[in-house]
Amino acid sequence: MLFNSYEFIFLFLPITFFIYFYLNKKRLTEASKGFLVFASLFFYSWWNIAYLPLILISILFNYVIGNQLSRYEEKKKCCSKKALLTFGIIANLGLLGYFKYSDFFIENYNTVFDTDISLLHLALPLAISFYTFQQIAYLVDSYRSETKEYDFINYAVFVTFFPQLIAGPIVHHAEMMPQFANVRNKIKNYHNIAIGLFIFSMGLFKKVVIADSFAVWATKGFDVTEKLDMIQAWITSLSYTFQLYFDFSGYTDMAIGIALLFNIKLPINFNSPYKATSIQDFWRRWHMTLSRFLKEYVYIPLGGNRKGEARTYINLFATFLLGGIWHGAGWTFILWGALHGLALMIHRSWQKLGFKLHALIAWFITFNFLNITWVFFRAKKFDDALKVLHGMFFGTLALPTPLESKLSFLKQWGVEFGGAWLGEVKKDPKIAIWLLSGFILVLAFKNSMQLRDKFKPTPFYMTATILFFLSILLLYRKSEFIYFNF
Amino acid sequence: MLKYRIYVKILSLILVGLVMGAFIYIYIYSKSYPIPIFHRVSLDAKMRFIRDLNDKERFDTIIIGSSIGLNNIQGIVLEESSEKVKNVINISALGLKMTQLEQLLKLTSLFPNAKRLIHSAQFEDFSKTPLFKESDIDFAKNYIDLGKNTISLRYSIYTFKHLVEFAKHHWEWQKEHIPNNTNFCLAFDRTGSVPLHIYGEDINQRRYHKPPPLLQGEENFLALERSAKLLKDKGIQFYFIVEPYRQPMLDEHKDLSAVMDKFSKRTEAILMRNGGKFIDLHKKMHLSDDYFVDREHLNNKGSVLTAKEIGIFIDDSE
Repeated sequence: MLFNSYEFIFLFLPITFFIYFYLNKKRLTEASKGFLVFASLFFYSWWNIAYLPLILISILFNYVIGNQLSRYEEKKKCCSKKALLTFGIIANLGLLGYFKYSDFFIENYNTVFDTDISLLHLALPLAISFYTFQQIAYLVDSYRSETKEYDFINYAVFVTFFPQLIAGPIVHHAEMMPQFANVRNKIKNYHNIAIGLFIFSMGLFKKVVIADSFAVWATKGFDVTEKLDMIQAWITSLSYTFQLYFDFSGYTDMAIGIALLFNIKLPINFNSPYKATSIQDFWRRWHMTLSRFLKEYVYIPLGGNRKGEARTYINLFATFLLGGIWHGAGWTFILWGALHGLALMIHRSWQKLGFKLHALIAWFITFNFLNITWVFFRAKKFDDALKVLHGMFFGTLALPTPLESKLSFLKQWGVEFGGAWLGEVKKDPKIAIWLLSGFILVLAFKNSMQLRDKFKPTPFYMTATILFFLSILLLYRKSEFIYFNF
Repeated sequence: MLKYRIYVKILSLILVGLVMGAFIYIYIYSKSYPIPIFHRVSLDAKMRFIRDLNDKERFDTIIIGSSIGLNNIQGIVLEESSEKVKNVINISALGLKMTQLEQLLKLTSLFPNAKRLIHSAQFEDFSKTPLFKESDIDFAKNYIDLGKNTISLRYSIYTFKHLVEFAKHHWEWQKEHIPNNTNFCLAFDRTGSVPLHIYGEDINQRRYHKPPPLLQGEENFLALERSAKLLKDKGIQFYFIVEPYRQPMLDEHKDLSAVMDKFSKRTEAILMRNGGKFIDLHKKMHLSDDYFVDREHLNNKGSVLTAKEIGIFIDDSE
């Protein structure tokens, strides 16, 4: 079920909300938790019930292993604690690998060894990357004895809680479990409801109105990569850059807003990432819970910056390469991760050398680097990405005819005059306005978390919430969130 | 600053009020205005028109087509000028292509006593276009089955989901269903045809003089072949009418003339192979410019003449 669907907004969410708090009001707290798990699994199964057993088995398996690890000393020992953890992690990664990477592996094996092994064509179970990472983190923390004793229902709520189940934020048991256990969170909280509705409506607006509008131009451009001239190629890449941000941050806002209705505070996932003035700064602002996971469970265990300079660079690169692979099974994602890893290495050495750039130049370089690398992230094939990039840098550029007399020498480098000058913009002038608005929104406005902190129950916020909610008028366009693919 | 409790209650009341208000608007107006099933007002208006017809069993003749079917044959004149044709229903709508018309043939089952189907066409109806979703056709059939001025909860919810488009339909319908001097008039007569009363200065000069794209989609000819076979199997006599075209345009643009000629020959061959009846009214009638509102649509005078000619053709054929 999508957050941006009528079924969710008009039926699932209000019904779940009222039943959950009704059960709590009747002091049936265990039943209310059970109901929340049931509702979340129903929400998950709406997409494809065939994968319900998979998530249930995954939850049960990780709960058992996690319990074994956290109470290792008290239990009968079948094997060493480390072996148990390794087994748990391998099982999780095996499940993820089977569904997400089998065909990619077979394809490449066929290419390298010139074989003809049939592809499995498995559908990627929704949210598998998210709940797998979340549970691996739980196992590692159990191994480190950082988890407390949780009963199965509590654990199931932590994994399945529907606002964060599908595409994050990737939550940590330590920040979720105490909230589910807190008795004060069992009572309706009007303060949270007011803010929750505001954040949810803003996320809905970001997704339905902004992201889905940019999606039209991005899709159009990536569908005809061979024919793109310079202006069209830039429109395409910038449209995707904005689409991705508003889509994912819109989703996150909606998740945070919904969770607040249930008195659960999900972690922040975005902090105006396109304001970043370096690639390091960007990763502190973009998909922050993934960055946190990669840092705590990959970068630091690899040694972080504690094992010398060379090793630090390798760890940085490896972490982001893994981040790329996590996003999808394809060379475009691997290259995207590698480019980001490389950029972080360059940034680190730049800092070490003590160089400094003017903030504006730093922002310009960072934003353009992101815009270019998102092309690999979006393109279905490596070739498509290269064609868009070729259009961006070597595509035909046509300047206005009046400039011809003064700039005719540019013709020798393929610059044309008249004709196609801003043809795409002339055909569809809205794109220029949207792109300009995109820049203004991401650079000049406060982000949703800053607005949340400033929230007051005033007519201004009420009007804003109502206006944002009018986005439901566009829900008939039905579109999934980009991160559902990961 | 309000108290949070009061704030949430007021906000909830407003939101619930807005949703309820929108739903009530939908529920009331979707009974009498076209709901966006196919997302084009002409076809959706035709669905509403068919829904509101009493006694669908009485129709023995169906006219189908794009605007060429909608504007170029007057159903009432056809009923009056033919001895065989008793009751006509024109289910044509603006912009429909052959492949889409093949899909809409499903709607013929709504008229169980139909004996003949007249497809009024021009080569422009055989250019490429996307298909309708099959589910939309079934959805339209069920909508028609609701009966006159009726809407169900299912269709109200569907319309609620397309609130903006419905409001647009509502507004466009108000504007377009009144007889007016534009090519987009949707003022159906009692058979569903739309005679155009456009003369002199009201004629759209661009549409009158500008030649159309000449590209023909092969899938349209295949669709015609399949449709002819289907109708033959159903025992419905298929009449394919090539409608008149402005002769000066054909004289001026030889490529256009060649495409039209080829179109006429190909469609005739398909009809002949599958037991259909074929008539090229362009060649038969030689209409002057006095009968056209643009390069291919006829005015009221012209559509009376074609209807009479088709009536004679049917009588002679049966």
